[in-house]
Amino acid sequence: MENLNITETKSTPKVELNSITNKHYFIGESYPENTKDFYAPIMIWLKEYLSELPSDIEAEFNFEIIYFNSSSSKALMDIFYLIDDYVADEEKSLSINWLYIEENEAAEEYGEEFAEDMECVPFNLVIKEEDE
Amino acid sequence: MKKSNKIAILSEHQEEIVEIAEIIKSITSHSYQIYDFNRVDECIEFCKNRRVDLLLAHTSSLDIILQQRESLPDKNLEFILFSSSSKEVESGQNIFNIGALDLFRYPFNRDEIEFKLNRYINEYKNMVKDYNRTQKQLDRVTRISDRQQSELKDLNNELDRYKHHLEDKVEEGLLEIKALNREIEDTQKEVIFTMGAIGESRSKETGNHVKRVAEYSYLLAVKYGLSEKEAEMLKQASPMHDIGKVAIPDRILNKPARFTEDEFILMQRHTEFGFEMLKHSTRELLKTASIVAYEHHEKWNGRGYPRGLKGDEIHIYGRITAIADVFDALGSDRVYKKGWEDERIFTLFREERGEHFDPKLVDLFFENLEDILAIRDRFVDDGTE
Ligand SMILES: [Fe+2]
Ligand SMILES: [Fe+2]
Repeated sequence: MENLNITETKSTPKVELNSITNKHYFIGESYPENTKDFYAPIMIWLKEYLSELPSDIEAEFNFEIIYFNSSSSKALMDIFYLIDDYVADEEKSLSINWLYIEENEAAEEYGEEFAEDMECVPFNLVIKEEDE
Repeated sequence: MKKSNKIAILSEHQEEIVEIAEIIKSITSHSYQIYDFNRVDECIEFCKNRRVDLLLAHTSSLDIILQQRESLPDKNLEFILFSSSSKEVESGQNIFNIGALDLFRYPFNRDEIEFKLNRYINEYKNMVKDYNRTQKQLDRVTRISDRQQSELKDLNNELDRYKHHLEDKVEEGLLEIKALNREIEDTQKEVIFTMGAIGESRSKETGNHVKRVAEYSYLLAVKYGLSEKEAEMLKQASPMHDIGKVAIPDRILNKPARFTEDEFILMQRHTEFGFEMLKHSTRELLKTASIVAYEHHEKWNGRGYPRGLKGDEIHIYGRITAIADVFDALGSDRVYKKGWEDERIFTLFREERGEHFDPKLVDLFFENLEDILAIRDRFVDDGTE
């Protein structure tokens, strides 16, 4: 299936969903004017991708969201639950990485909260080295 | 591999349990694991310790189930009632109000039980899962939103503090600028006044002469209809009208005897010297001063110097300063002459209306004579010099 790439804007993150490398990225800030419009095509892509993905292929979802609004947090949880369900029901080899810079305490706490809700998928909190 | 669904069955009558269990075991589309209990307390105890997806209970246990459900880990544990005879429960309606999913009546219908169990287990479990998740989401979103709001509040407070700090700084800066401006203005006035005084002192005028000329010029300018800004400009510039005299040698300037023809021509050139000194400046004030220096000896009838300009060819600044300067010079005592009486001056002014002076300015002079004399009184020479 085709990869899904969305370029970063001031209010939406860069999204790179890749069905060949099976490494997926959400990077940037998320406070779109219409959160549903932004995340709907992503959900559709993910559902199709996950249903086709063979159980023995590992796939990794990387989230590095510096700032997000409340409706985005709901959209992100929808994605996490979807991934969690595929691990729970079909035993797919998926993992989620929540990346944040050490000083960003809020991001760390949000990551911890999201992790609590995951029943099956590994939800890793990853401290990111500042590259600049 | 799918997890099997755990179903607890509760009835005092073992044969009912067996009958229902047989039906459930025969369902092949889903896998069910059955735990059966004859005693309600055992059943509740079991539900407290193990995850149970569905409870099937005889209607006789309804009250206890409702009482105990709150204390279970899964407060929303779904249950289906079954009855051994239709008499035991008045109507199915009540059952649903109480929270039961359904009521299986005796005799049990295998197809009905299979269909309903599958549906409840699938749909209902999903619904409950979705419901729980939505609750969690709501909870998280609210907390995230709360946190962001309090962060925002902190930022706002900080911004407010910063704004106040900035306002204070700006206020301070403004005061400083105002003080500096005042100093610059004062310095400028002093420099101009001193420059004028230098010119006048060389021709034996008193310091108050330039002050009076300044005030007369201002008054006439305002009455003539110039703007406040122009009048103020002229007031500051008119004291410099004789600045060109610094270029005239003392021996001529202070000569007690009459000037020779050449000396007279040189004397007259103080107007051009003054203009040359000031004309290069781009400052409006000094430009004004250059005009005043250049044109204060021009006459309305064209017989003045240095250029013999006529009527309103002469700049209004020059015309005003001319009348102000002459009025003050005539009235002042000099080493070599006594000041004129007022009447004599007024007679001359009437004669020179439209000759030496702009007729309109002469009219204004007489119309405002009271104010002009008040200025003269205010800046009276003390005579000692
Ligand atoms: Fe003069
Ligand atoms: Fe003068």
